[in-house]
Amino acid sequence: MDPYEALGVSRTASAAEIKKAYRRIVKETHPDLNPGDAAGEERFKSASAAYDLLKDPETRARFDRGEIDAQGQETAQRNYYNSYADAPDNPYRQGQRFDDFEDLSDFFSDYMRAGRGARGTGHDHVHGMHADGRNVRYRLQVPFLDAALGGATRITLPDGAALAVQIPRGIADGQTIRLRGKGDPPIGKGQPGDALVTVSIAPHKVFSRDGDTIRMVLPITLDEAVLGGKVEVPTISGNVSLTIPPGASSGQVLRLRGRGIAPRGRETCGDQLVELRIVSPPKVDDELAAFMETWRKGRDHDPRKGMTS
Amino acid sequence: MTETFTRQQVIADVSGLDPVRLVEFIEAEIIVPVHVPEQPEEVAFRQVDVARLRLACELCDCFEIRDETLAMVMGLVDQLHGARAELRAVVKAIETLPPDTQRDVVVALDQARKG
Repeated sequence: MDPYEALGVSRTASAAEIKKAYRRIVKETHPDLNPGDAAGEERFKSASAAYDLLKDPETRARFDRGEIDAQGQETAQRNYYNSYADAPDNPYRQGQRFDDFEDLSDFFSDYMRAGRGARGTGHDHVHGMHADGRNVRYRLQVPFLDAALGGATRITLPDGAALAVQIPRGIADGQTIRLRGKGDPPIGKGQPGDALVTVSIAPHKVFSRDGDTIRMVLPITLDEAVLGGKVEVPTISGNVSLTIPPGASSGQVLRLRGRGIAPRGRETCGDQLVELRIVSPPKVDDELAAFMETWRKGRDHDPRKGMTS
Repeated sequence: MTETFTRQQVIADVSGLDPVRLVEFIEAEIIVPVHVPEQPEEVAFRQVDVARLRLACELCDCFEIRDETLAMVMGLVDQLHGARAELRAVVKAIETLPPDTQRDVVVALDQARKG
Protein backbone atom coordinates (compact mmCIF):
# COMPACT_ATOMS: atom_id res chain seq x y z
CA MET A 1 0.00 0.00 0.00
CA ASP A 2 1.21 3.51 -0.78
CA PRO A 3 2.38 5.04 2.51
CA TYR A 4 1.00 8.49 1.66
CA GLU A 5 -2.35 6.91 0.96
CA ALA A 6 -2.20 4.91 4.21
CA LEU A 7 -1.79 8.13 6.15
CA GLY A 8 -4.20 10.09 3.97
CA VAL A 9 -1.70 12.83 3.13
CA SER A 10 -0.40 14.25 -0.14
CA ARG A 11 3.08 13.48 -1.43
CA THR A 12 4.09 17.05 -0.65
CA ALA A 13 2.90 16.93 2.98
CA SER A 14 5.29 18.41 5.53
CA ALA A 15 6.80 16.33 8.33
CA ALA A 16 4.41 18.00 10.77
CA GLU A 17 1.41 17.13 8.62
CA ILE A 18 2.55 13.54 8.40
CA LYS A 19 2.94 13.32 12.17
CA LYS A 20 -0.46 14.91 12.70
CA ALA A 21 -2.12 12.46 10.33
CA TYR A 22 -0.39 9.53 12.01
CA ARG A 23 -1.42 10.73 15.47
CA ARG A 24 -5.03 11.01 14.42
CA ILE A 25 -5.03 7.45 13.05
CA VAL A 26 -3.35 6.12 16.21
CA LYS A 27 -5.97 7.82 18.35
CA GLU A 28 -8.82 6.41 16.29
CA THR A 29 -7.50 2.93 15.60
CA HIS A 30 -4.77 1.80 18.02
CA PRO A 31 -5.90 -1.72 18.98
CA ASP A 32 -5.11 -1.08 22.64
CA LEU A 33 -7.15 2.10 22.76
CA ASN A 34 -9.99 0.75 20.56
CA PRO A 35 -10.23 -2.95 21.41
CA GLY A 36 -12.44 -5.11 19.22
CA ASP A 37 -12.20 -2.99 16.06
CA ALA A 38 -10.69 -5.33 13.45
CA ALA A 39 -10.92 -2.88 10.55
CA GLY A 40 -9.29 -0.22 12.73
CA GLU A 41 -6.45 -2.59 13.53
CA GLU A 42 -5.71 -3.07 9.83
CA ARG A 43 -5.73 0.69 9.32
CA PHE A 44 -3.40 1.12 12.29
CA LYS A 45 -0.99 -1.47 10.88
CA SER A 46 -0.72 0.20 7.48
CA ALA A 47 -0.43 3.64 9.05
CA SER A 48 2.35 2.47 11.40
CA ALA A 49 4.29 0.91 8.54
CA ALA A 50 3.78 4.07 6.49
CA TYR A 51 4.85 6.33 9.32
CA ASP A 52 7.97 4.24 9.96
CA LEU A 53 8.91 4.86 6.35
CA LEU A 54 8.04 8.54 6.12
CA LYS A 55 9.04 9.88 9.55
CA ASP A 56 12.74 9.85 8.70
CA PRO A 57 13.40 12.51 6.00
CA GLU A 58 16.19 10.42 4.51
CA THR A 59 14.19 7.20 4.03
CA ARG A 60 11.28 9.30 2.83
CA ALA A 61 13.50 10.88 0.16
CA ARG A 62 14.81 7.48 -0.88
CA PHE A 63 11.25 6.18 -1.15
CA ASP A 64 10.24 9.25 -3.22
CA ARG A 65 13.15 8.64 -5.59
CA GLY A 66 12.03 5.02 -5.93
CA GLU A 67 15.18 3.59 -4.34
CA ILE A 68 13.19 1.61 -1.77
CA ASP A 69 9.64 0.37 -1.83
CA ALA A 70 7.01 0.22 0.88
CA GLN A 71 7.32 -3.56 1.15
CA GLY A 72 10.61 -3.40 3.04
CA GLN A 73 8.91 -1.52 5.81
CA GLU A 74 6.35 -4.15 6.70
CA THR A 75 6.43 -4.49 10.45
CA ALA A 76 6.76 -7.93 11.95
CA GLN A 77 3.81 -9.64 13.56
CA ARG A 78 3.44 -8.10 16.98
CA ASN A 79 1.47 -8.84 20.10
CA TYR A 80 -0.68 -5.96 21.18
CA TYR A 81 -1.19 -5.29 24.84
CA ASN A 82 -4.88 -6.03 24.34
CA SER A 83 -4.12 -9.71 23.74
CA TYR A 84 -2.99 -9.86 27.37
CA ALA A 85 -4.95 -6.99 28.82
CA ASP A 86 -8.25 -8.69 29.54
CA ALA A 87 -6.85 -12.07 30.52
CA PRO A 88 -7.89 -12.98 34.07
CA ASP A 89 -4.26 -13.22 35.14
CA ASN A 90 -3.22 -9.82 33.75
CA PRO A 91 -1.47 -8.22 36.72
CA TYR A 92 -2.44 -4.74 35.50
CA ARG A 93 -6.11 -5.48 35.15
CA GLN A 94 -8.38 -3.26 37.16
CA GLY A 95 -11.09 -4.65 39.36
CA GLN A 96 -9.10 -7.68 40.40
CA ARG A 97 -10.08 -9.65 43.45
CA PHE A 98 -7.77 -9.65 46.40
CA ASP A 99 -6.94 -12.80 48.23
CA ASP A 100 -8.73 -11.40 51.26
CA PHE A 101 -11.90 -10.89 49.23
CA GLU A 102 -14.05 -13.30 51.18
CA ASP A 103 -17.33 -11.59 51.86
CA LEU A 104 -19.63 -12.55 49.02
CA SER A 105 -22.78 -11.22 50.69
CA ASP A 106 -22.29 -7.75 49.22
CA PHE A 107 -21.29 -9.16 45.86
CA PHE A 108 -23.04 -6.62 43.68
CA SER A 109 -21.95 -3.53 45.56
CA ASP A 110 -18.42 -4.89 45.81
CA TYR A 111 -18.60 -5.71 42.13
CA MET A 112 -18.83 -2.05 41.23
CA ARG A 113 -16.30 -0.96 43.82
CA ALA A 114 -13.69 -3.57 43.10
CA GLY A 115 -11.81 -1.47 40.56
CA ARG A 116 -11.09 1.36 42.90
CA GLY A 117 -7.88 1.29 44.82
CA ALA A 118 -6.40 -1.42 42.68
CA ARG A 119 -3.64 0.87 41.48
CA GLY A 120 -3.18 2.37 44.88
CA THR A 121 -4.47 5.83 44.10
CA GLY A 122 -8.00 5.24 45.40
CA HIS A 123 -6.71 4.67 48.88
CA ASP A 124 -5.48 8.18 49.53
CA HIS A 125 -7.50 10.06 52.07
CA VAL A 126 -6.52 13.61 52.83
CA HIS A 127 -7.52 15.12 56.17
CA GLY A 128 -5.96 18.56 56.57
CA MET A 129 -2.23 18.01 57.09
CA HIS A 130 -2.69 14.29 57.31
CA ALA A 131 -2.75 11.89 54.40
CA ASP A 132 -2.74 8.14 54.12
CA GLY A 133 0.36 6.55 52.63
CA ARG A 134 0.26 5.35 49.04
CA ASN A 135 -0.30 1.68 48.25
CA VAL A 136 2.75 0.19 46.57
CA ARG A 137 2.43 -2.58 44.00
CA TYR A 138 4.80 -5.49 43.61
CA ARG A 139 4.85 -8.58 41.48
CA LEU A 140 6.44 -11.66 42.88
CA GLN A 141 7.46 -14.91 41.27
CA VAL A 142 6.52 -17.80 43.52
CA PRO A 143 7.82 -21.37 43.13
CA PHE A 144 5.13 -23.73 41.84
CA LEU A 145 5.05 -25.89 44.97
CA ASP A 146 4.91 -22.89 47.34
CA ALA A 147 1.84 -21.64 45.48
CA ALA A 148 0.27 -25.10 45.67
CA LEU A 149 1.13 -25.91 49.27
CA GLY A 150 1.69 -22.48 50.83
CA GLY A 151 5.00 -21.06 51.97
CA ALA A 152 6.96 -17.99 52.90
CA THR A 153 9.24 -15.81 50.81
CA ARG A 154 10.54 -12.28 50.63
CA ILE A 155 10.84 -9.36 48.24
CA THR A 156 14.18 -7.59 48.29
CA LEU A 157 13.56 -3.87 47.94
CA PRO A 158 15.93 -1.51 46.09
CA ASP A 159 17.22 -0.12 49.42
CA GLY A 160 18.22 -3.64 50.50
CA ALA A 161 15.36 -4.03 52.98
CA ALA A 162 13.17 -7.12 52.68
CA LEU A 163 9.43 -7.53 52.74
CA ALA A 164 8.28 -10.86 54.16
CA VAL A 165 5.39 -12.45 52.24
CA GLN A 166 3.28 -15.40 53.37
CA ILE A 167 1.96 -17.36 50.41
CA PRO A 168 -1.49 -18.80 51.14
CA ARG A 169 -1.98 -22.41 50.08
CA GLY A 170 -3.53 -22.76 46.61
CA ILE A 171 -2.99 -19.15 45.49
CA ALA A 172 -3.63 -18.73 41.75
CA ASP A 173 -1.52 -16.98 39.13
CA GLY A 174 -2.41 -13.28 39.07
CA GLN A 175 -3.96 -13.16 42.54
CA THR A 176 -2.97 -10.31 44.81
CA ILE A 177 -1.92 -10.53 48.45
CA ARG A 178 -2.52 -7.39 50.52
CA LEU A 179 0.08 -6.67 53.19
CA ARG A 180 -1.59 -4.07 55.35
CA GLY A 181 0.56 -1.14 56.38
CA LYS A 182 3.53 -2.23 54.26
CA GLY A 183 3.14 0.49 51.62
CA ASP A 184 4.37 4.08 51.81
CA PRO A 185 4.36 5.85 55.18
CA PRO A 186 1.57 8.34 55.93
CA ILE A 187 1.82 12.08 56.31
CA GLY A 188 0.91 13.20 59.81
CA LYS A 189 -1.66 10.97 61.46
CA GLY A 190 -2.84 9.16 58.31
CA GLN A 191 -2.71 5.40 57.81
CA PRO A 192 0.28 3.78 56.12
CA GLY A 193 -0.46 2.39 52.63
CA ASP A 194 -0.60 -1.30 51.83
CA ALA A 195 1.78 -3.40 49.77
CA LEU A 196 -0.18 -5.16 47.03
CA VAL A 197 1.74 -8.21 45.87
CA THR A 198 0.50 -9.85 42.67
CA VAL A 199 1.71 -13.40 42.31
CA SER A 200 3.21 -15.00 39.19
CA ILE A 201 3.62 -18.73 39.56
CA ALA A 202 6.87 -20.13 38.19
CA PRO A 203 6.58 -23.19 35.94
CA HIS A 204 7.48 -26.61 37.34
CA LYS A 205 9.45 -29.20 35.42
CA VAL A 206 6.93 -31.98 36.07
CA PHE A 207 3.62 -30.44 37.10
CA SER A 208 1.30 -27.92 35.54
CA ARG A 209 -1.81 -26.48 37.03
CA ASP A 210 -5.39 -25.88 36.00
CA GLY A 211 -7.17 -24.29 38.97
CA ASP A 212 -6.95 -26.82 41.77
CA THR A 213 -6.14 -29.65 39.37
CA ILE A 214 -2.53 -30.74 38.92
CA ARG A 215 -1.57 -32.20 35.55
CA MET A 216 1.47 -34.20 34.56
CA VAL A 217 2.69 -36.44 31.77
CA LEU A 218 3.95 -39.82 32.95
CA PRO A 219 6.33 -41.75 30.68
CA ILE A 220 5.77 -45.52 30.79
CA THR A 221 7.57 -48.36 29.07
CA LEU A 222 6.19 -50.55 26.31
CA ASP A 223 5.86 -53.56 28.63
CA GLU A 224 4.11 -51.47 31.33
CA ALA A 225 1.64 -50.28 28.69
CA VAL A 226 0.90 -53.81 27.49
CA LEU A 227 0.89 -55.67 30.80
CA GLY A 228 -0.18 -52.92 33.18
CA GLY A 229 1.27 -52.67 36.65
CA LYS A 230 1.99 -50.42 39.60
CA VAL A 231 4.34 -47.45 39.20
CA GLU A 232 5.53 -44.68 41.51
CA VAL A 233 4.18 -41.27 40.55
CA PRO A 234 5.23 -37.91 42.02
CA THR A 235 2.48 -35.68 43.41
CA ILE A 236 2.79 -32.25 45.01
CA SER A 237 2.73 -33.96 48.41
CA GLY A 238 5.05 -36.90 47.76
CA ASN A 239 5.13 -40.10 45.72
CA VAL A 240 2.11 -42.35 45.41
CA SER A 241 1.56 -45.69 43.74
CA LEU A 242 -0.52 -45.67 40.55
CA THR A 243 -2.00 -48.72 38.81
CA ILE A 244 -1.58 -48.68 35.04
CA PRO A 245 -4.34 -50.76 33.44
CA PRO A 246 -3.21 -53.45 30.96
CA GLY A 247 -3.36 -52.24 27.36
CA ALA A 248 -2.78 -48.58 28.19
CA SER A 249 -2.27 -46.06 25.37
CA SER A 250 -0.42 -42.76 25.11
CA GLY A 251 -2.76 -39.87 25.86
CA GLN A 252 -4.87 -41.90 28.28
CA VAL A 253 -5.51 -39.89 31.44
CA LEU A 254 -5.70 -41.42 34.91
CA ARG A 255 -7.08 -39.56 37.90
CA LEU A 256 -5.50 -39.51 41.34
CA ARG A 257 -8.41 -38.32 43.40
CA GLY A 258 -7.69 -35.72 46.08
CA ARG A 259 -4.00 -35.40 45.12
CA GLY A 260 -4.37 -31.89 43.69
CA ILE A 261 -4.48 -28.57 45.48
CA ALA A 262 -6.44 -28.05 48.70
CA PRO A 263 -6.86 -24.27 48.71
CA ARG A 264 -7.00 -22.40 51.98
CA GLY A 265 -10.49 -21.94 53.36
CA ARG A 266 -12.15 -24.56 51.18
CA GLU A 267 -13.14 -28.11 51.98
CA THR A 268 -12.78 -29.50 48.50
CA CYS A 269 -9.51 -30.75 47.16
CA GLY A 270 -8.43 -30.96 43.53
CA ASP A 271 -7.24 -34.08 41.73
CA GLN A 272 -4.05 -34.93 39.91
CA LEU A 273 -4.49 -35.97 36.29
CA VAL A 274 -1.79 -38.23 34.91
CA GLU A 275 -1.46 -38.46 31.14
CA LEU A 276 0.34 -41.59 30.03
CA ARG A 277 3.01 -41.49 27.36
CA ILE A 278 4.51 -44.69 26.05
CA VAL A 279 8.26 -44.41 25.54
CA SER A 280 10.05 -47.03 23.46
CA PRO A 281 13.34 -48.40 24.77
CA PRO A 282 16.33 -46.28 23.64
CA LYS A 283 17.51 -49.18 21.49
CA VAL A 284 15.23 -51.78 19.96
CA ASP A 285 17.15 -55.03 20.38
CA ASP A 286 16.91 -58.02 18.06
CA GLU A 287 14.81 -60.00 20.50
CA LEU A 288 12.13 -57.29 20.69
CA ALA A 289 12.12 -56.77 16.92
CA ALA A 290 11.86 -60.51 16.26
CA PHE A 291 9.01 -60.84 18.77
CA MET A 292 7.10 -57.97 17.16
CA GLU A 293 7.59 -59.43 13.68
CA THR A 294 6.09 -62.72 14.86
CA TRP A 295 3.36 -61.01 16.85
CA ARG A 296 1.96 -58.89 14.04
CA LYS A 297 1.60 -61.78 11.60
CA GLY A 298 -2.07 -62.52 11.04
CA ARG A 299 -3.29 -59.51 13.06
CA ASP A 300 -5.04 -56.62 11.38
CA HIS A 301 -5.60 -54.11 14.20
CA ASP A 302 -5.42 -50.65 12.61
CA PRO A 303 -5.77 -47.65 14.97
CA ARG A 304 -5.84 -45.35 11.90
CA LYS A 305 -8.86 -47.06 10.42
CA GLY A 306 -11.16 -44.54 8.74
CA MET A 307 -8.61 -41.72 8.84
CA THR A 308 -7.21 -42.31 5.39
CA SER A 309 -9.27 -42.82 2.28
CA MET B 1 3.10 -16.65 29.46
CA THR B 2 5.96 -17.90 31.56
CA GLU B 3 8.82 -16.74 29.34
CA THR B 4 10.72 -13.97 31.07
CA PHE B 5 13.01 -11.23 29.82
CA THR B 6 15.80 -9.26 31.47
CA ARG B 7 16.07 -5.49 31.64
CA GLN B 8 18.58 -5.53 28.74
CA GLN B 9 16.35 -7.75 26.62
CA VAL B 10 13.29 -5.53 26.91
CA ILE B 11 15.33 -2.41 26.16
CA ALA B 12 16.68 -4.09 23.02
CA ASP B 13 13.26 -5.43 22.02
CA VAL B 14 10.98 -2.41 22.47
CA SER B 15 11.62 0.45 20.09
CA GLY B 16 11.79 3.81 21.82
CA LEU B 17 12.69 2.27 25.18
CA ASP B 18 15.92 3.24 26.92
CA PRO B 19 17.22 2.52 30.45
CA VAL B 20 16.14 5.94 31.77
CA ARG B 21 12.63 5.61 30.43
CA LEU B 22 12.31 2.08 31.84
CA VAL B 23 13.23 3.35 35.32
CA GLU B 24 10.67 6.15 34.97
CA PHE B 25 7.97 3.65 33.96
CA ILE B 26 8.78 1.43 36.92
CA GLU B 27 8.77 4.37 39.34
CA ALA B 28 5.39 5.55 38.03
CA GLU B 29 4.11 1.92 38.37
CA ILE B 30 3.26 1.91 34.68
CA ILE B 31 5.25 -1.30 34.66
CA VAL B 32 5.57 -3.52 37.71
CA PRO B 33 8.38 -6.01 37.05
CA VAL B 34 8.43 -9.43 38.69
CA HIS B 35 10.63 -10.01 41.72
CA VAL B 36 12.31 -13.39 41.67
CA PRO B 37 13.38 -14.28 45.23
CA GLU B 38 16.25 -16.46 43.95
CA GLN B 39 17.77 -13.47 42.08
CA PRO B 40 17.29 -10.52 44.43
CA GLU B 41 19.43 -8.14 42.34
CA GLU B 42 17.52 -8.66 39.08
CA VAL B 43 13.89 -8.18 38.11
CA ALA B 44 12.10 -10.07 35.34
CA PHE B 45 9.64 -8.97 32.66
CA ARG B 46 7.00 -11.13 31.02
CA GLN B 47 5.39 -10.93 27.60
CA VAL B 48 2.53 -8.87 28.98
CA ASP B 49 5.09 -6.34 30.23
CA VAL B 50 6.82 -6.19 26.83
CA ALA B 51 3.49 -5.55 25.08
CA ARG B 52 2.63 -2.94 27.69
CA LEU B 53 6.03 -1.23 27.37
CA ARG B 54 5.52 -1.04 23.61
CA LEU B 55 2.14 0.64 24.09
CA ALA B 56 3.59 3.04 26.69
CA CYS B 57 6.46 4.00 24.35
CA GLU B 58 4.04 4.55 21.45
CA LEU B 59 1.89 6.82 23.59
CA CYS B 60 5.00 8.71 24.76
CA ASP B 61 6.40 9.20 21.27
CA CYS B 62 3.20 9.80 19.40
CA PHE B 63 1.38 12.08 21.82
CA GLU B 64 4.38 13.42 23.71
CA ILE B 65 2.94 12.57 27.09
CA ARG B 66 5.08 11.58 30.06
CA ASP B 67 5.01 10.49 33.66
CA GLU B 68 1.76 11.28 35.42
CA THR B 69 -0.27 11.81 32.26
CA LEU B 70 0.98 8.56 30.79
CA ALA B 71 0.24 6.74 34.04
CA MET B 72 -3.28 8.14 33.92
CA VAL B 73 -3.85 7.11 30.29
CA MET B 74 -2.51 3.61 30.97
CA GLY B 75 -4.78 3.42 34.02
CA LEU B 76 -7.75 4.29 31.81
CA VAL B 77 -6.70 1.68 29.25
CA ASP B 78 -6.56 -0.89 32.05
CA GLN B 79 -9.96 0.17 33.31
CA LEU B 80 -11.37 -0.16 29.80
CA HIS B 81 -9.99 -3.65 29.38
CA GLY B 82 -11.02 -4.62 32.92
CA ALA B 83 -14.57 -3.39 32.31
CA ARG B 84 -14.77 -5.22 28.97
CA ALA B 85 -13.59 -8.46 30.55
CA GLU B 86 -16.07 -8.11 33.42
CA LEU B 87 -18.86 -7.45 30.96
CA ARG B 88 -17.88 -10.52 28.95
CA ALA B 89 -17.93 -12.56 32.17
CA VAL B 90 -21.45 -11.26 32.94
CA VAL B 91 -22.65 -12.17 29.43
CA LYS B 92 -21.08 -15.61 29.74
CA ALA B 93 -22.75 -16.14 33.11
CA ILE B 94 -26.13 -15.04 31.74
CA GLU B 95 -25.76 -17.48 28.84
CA THR B 96 -25.63 -20.37 31.30
CA LEU B 97 -29.01 -19.41 32.81
CA PRO B 98 -32.35 -20.91 31.66
CA PRO B 99 -33.91 -19.09 28.63
CA ASP B 100 -36.74 -17.60 30.75
CA THR B 101 -34.26 -16.13 33.21
CA GLN B 102 -32.18 -14.78 30.32
CA ARG B 103 -35.25 -12.97 29.01
CA ASP B 104 -35.92 -11.56 32.50
CA VAL B 105 -32.36 -10.25 32.61
CA VAL B 106 -32.76 -8.57 29.21
CA VAL B 107 -35.99 -6.87 30.35
CA ALA B 108 -34.45 -5.81 33.67
CA LEU B 109 -31.40 -4.49 31.84
CA ASP B 110 -33.57 -2.50 29.50
CA GLN B 111 -35.39 -0.93 32.44
CA ALA B 112 -32.15 -0.20 34.27
CA ARG B 113 -30.84 1.59 31.16
CA LYS B 114 -33.82 3.89 31.14
CA GLY B 115 -33.00 4.73 34.75
